Amino acid sequence: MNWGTVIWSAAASAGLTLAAIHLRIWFRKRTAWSNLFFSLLALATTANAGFELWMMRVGTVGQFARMFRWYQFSALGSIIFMVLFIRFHLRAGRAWLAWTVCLLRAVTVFLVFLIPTFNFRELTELRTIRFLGESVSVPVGEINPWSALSQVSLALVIVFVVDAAISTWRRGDRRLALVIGGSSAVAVIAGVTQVLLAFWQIVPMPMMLSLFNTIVVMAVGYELTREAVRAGQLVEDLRESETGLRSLYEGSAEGIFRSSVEGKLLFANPATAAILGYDSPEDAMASLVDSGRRIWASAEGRAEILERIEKEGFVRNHECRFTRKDGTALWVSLTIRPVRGPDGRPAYFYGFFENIDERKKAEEALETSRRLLAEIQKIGRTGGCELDLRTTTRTWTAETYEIFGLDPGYEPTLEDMGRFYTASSRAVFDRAMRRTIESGAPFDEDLEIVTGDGRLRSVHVRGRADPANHRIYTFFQDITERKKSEDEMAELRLERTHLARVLTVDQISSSLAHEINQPLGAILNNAEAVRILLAQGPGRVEDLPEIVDDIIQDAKRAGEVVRKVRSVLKKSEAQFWRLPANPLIDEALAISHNSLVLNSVILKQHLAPDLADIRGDPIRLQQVLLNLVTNALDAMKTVPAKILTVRSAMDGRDTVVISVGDSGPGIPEAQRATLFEPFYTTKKDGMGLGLAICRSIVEEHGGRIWTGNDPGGGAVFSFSLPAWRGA
Amino acid sequence: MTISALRYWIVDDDLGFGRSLKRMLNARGIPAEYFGSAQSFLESVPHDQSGYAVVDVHMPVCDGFGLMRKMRELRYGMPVIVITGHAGIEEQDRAIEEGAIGFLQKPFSEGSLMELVLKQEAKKSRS
Repeated sequence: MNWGTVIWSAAASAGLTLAAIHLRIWFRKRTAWSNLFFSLLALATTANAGFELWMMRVGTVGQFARMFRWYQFSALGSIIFMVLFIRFHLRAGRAWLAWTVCLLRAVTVFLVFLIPTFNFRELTELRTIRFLGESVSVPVGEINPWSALSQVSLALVIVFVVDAAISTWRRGDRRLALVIGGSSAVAVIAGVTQVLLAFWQIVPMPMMLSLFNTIVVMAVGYELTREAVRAGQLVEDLRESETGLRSLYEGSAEGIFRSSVEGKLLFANPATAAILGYDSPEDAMASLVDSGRRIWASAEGRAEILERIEKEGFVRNHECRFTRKDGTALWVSLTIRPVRGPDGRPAYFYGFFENIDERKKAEEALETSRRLLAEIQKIGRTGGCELDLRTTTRTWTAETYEIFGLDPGYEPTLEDMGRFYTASSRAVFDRAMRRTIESGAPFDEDLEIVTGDGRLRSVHVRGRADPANHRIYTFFQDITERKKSEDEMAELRLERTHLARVLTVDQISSSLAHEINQPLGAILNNAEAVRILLAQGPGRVEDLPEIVDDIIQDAKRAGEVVRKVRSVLKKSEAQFWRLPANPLIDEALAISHNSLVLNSVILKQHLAPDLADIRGDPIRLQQVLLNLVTNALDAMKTVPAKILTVRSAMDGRDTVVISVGDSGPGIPEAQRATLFEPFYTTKKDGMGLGLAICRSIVEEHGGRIWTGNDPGGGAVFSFSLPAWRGA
Repeated sequence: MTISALRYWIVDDDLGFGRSLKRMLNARGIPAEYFGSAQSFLESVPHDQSGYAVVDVHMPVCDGFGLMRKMRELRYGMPVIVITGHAGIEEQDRAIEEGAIGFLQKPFSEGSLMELVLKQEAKKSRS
């Protein structure tokens, strides 16, 4: 054993080891071309070392020549693979130069085999020299000048490597340029120099290409190993962060997933499976191979997401519906982001989602009930408000603004609680409110408001205090339309009954007056004319007969009018029925209700429950009652305390007595006798027919009518009616 | 100008009344004309005539108030006294509203008519 053997063997085994390592790396990762070429370079280096060692040991010239030819192969390999390695690892070097080197070298090797004398024209002998303490053989012979061709290729290798190293350096990868580019350049330059010196026999020494190759291999090996170590560290770091991430996504309440563009679920965390109702993430992944169809509650949902990703790049907190394993749908808030491939198209999606089904359902339920409430309030024209007595916070429902004629954006003030009521309603409201606050008693009133836009409206207001929560709730209902139609009804009824029956008396008397006043006026004028003419002396007497004729004519006319009116009145014959008396009174009072309320009259009724039925014409008896009530109201116009007392009672077994009393000034004794005479009146604009008609109606029924003063003050009008005694 | 020189234009559908009023005024020596309808008055009396119109409220086709409106439209200058057989306070109010200088309820005395006219004349001479 000597140093030569040791060095070449070491170089060979180092090359072999590195070749094996990097070949394995390439096998694991087929795109790692630089590892493959480095492996082949290392292999070629091992072969170089073997051939060189062998050549040092050969005994004959023939042996050397054969060995030298094969040596060309491994040398070719080391050159081609170095060029390729540099090209792939440094991503530098001119391609044409690389091809030229490889081609030229390949041609020379081919020529060496074709022409045995390509390198040495003649190999004369082997010289034995001492090298590193060993006897080694070096060839002696005549060099063929054509072998310069292979040396040109070696020069081109130097140019290629240096050029690649420089451009790598310029690119900024200084370390790579220095370690790999630099070492390669130095080794190639040194190796080529050494080989040329040995080949041309300028210095007698063996070929040592493999040693310089080994320098490159070691440098690259060092660099690649360093990367491997770094990669190892990265793997360690990654594993650590992955552990952290895993605990995050496994413990997360949100579903975290990765899916293919087509919709296949590629990764899912336990929450994904749990939310979607799968047994495990694996179950979910196995089932959701085309989640686009299985997971989306609707096809539009997915299309919308894809469109938004296309347009906006990603989607955040998008609320949509997913389908669970059991087919039910649930609301989720989805955030999804594509991971794009080298072509810029989404390669797959990363995303997470949160189960918002309960929140969404609560929101929907709230919205539904809000809409229902609003709709019902709108239909019912009802509103409501809440007043917090401690904070004086006021909350109005939407329809309340409508009822009060205010803009929906209006901010109600505390003053607004009572501001809209008319003066009289305001008093009622304030009183009710005070009582509610003090005693918690609910209230229920029909009030009038003047709305923000100036309309008078009737509202039904109900209120209730909630002392425990220091709140008052008020309910409003717009009853304007109802009230109006009620009023109209009442008015209509009044017109049909009161007006039709009682006021016709006034109408008849009024037209009667008109018809009589015409002839009376004419008579008066004519009489006046006669007087004037007579006063002027006998000269104008010839006109008198004509005037007197007119007077007679007009007087007859007046008589005719009275006769006609009487006949009209007589036309309606009374119709007698068997009637209970109290309902008759009730009906008359109902008709008078509005007038009573309007005049703030207190009504007292003392109706005997066991009255006998009477014989009467209901319409005419109504006329009597209404007339008496109207008179009573007129009598009480000027007194502050207005009390109307209506009584019914039996007088003996056969007579029903009905009386209407007032709290007016009463009737002086002197007037009582003439009260029922026609045209007797105490009223400014009355005709004095009312009581006369009443008397005639009562007498028509076989009854009597009379008056007296109440001991407590005021007048009492009474009439009697005979009880029913059979038809 | 004395009162007797004023002319009266009586418009009343009631022939008996209208004729008797004209007769009474004529007996006093006061010129008066009678028309049975608003139409015949408007056709016969030009708007620039002076005097007093005595107009009944209740007439068929065109009543007293209708006639007063037409007189205003046609620029009649004469004052109007409204007469009626009815007893309504409303009619009186309305007559004054429509611009009548007075309102008389039939039957009325000669004196009450003259009183209205004298008041109006006094007002005219003051202004």
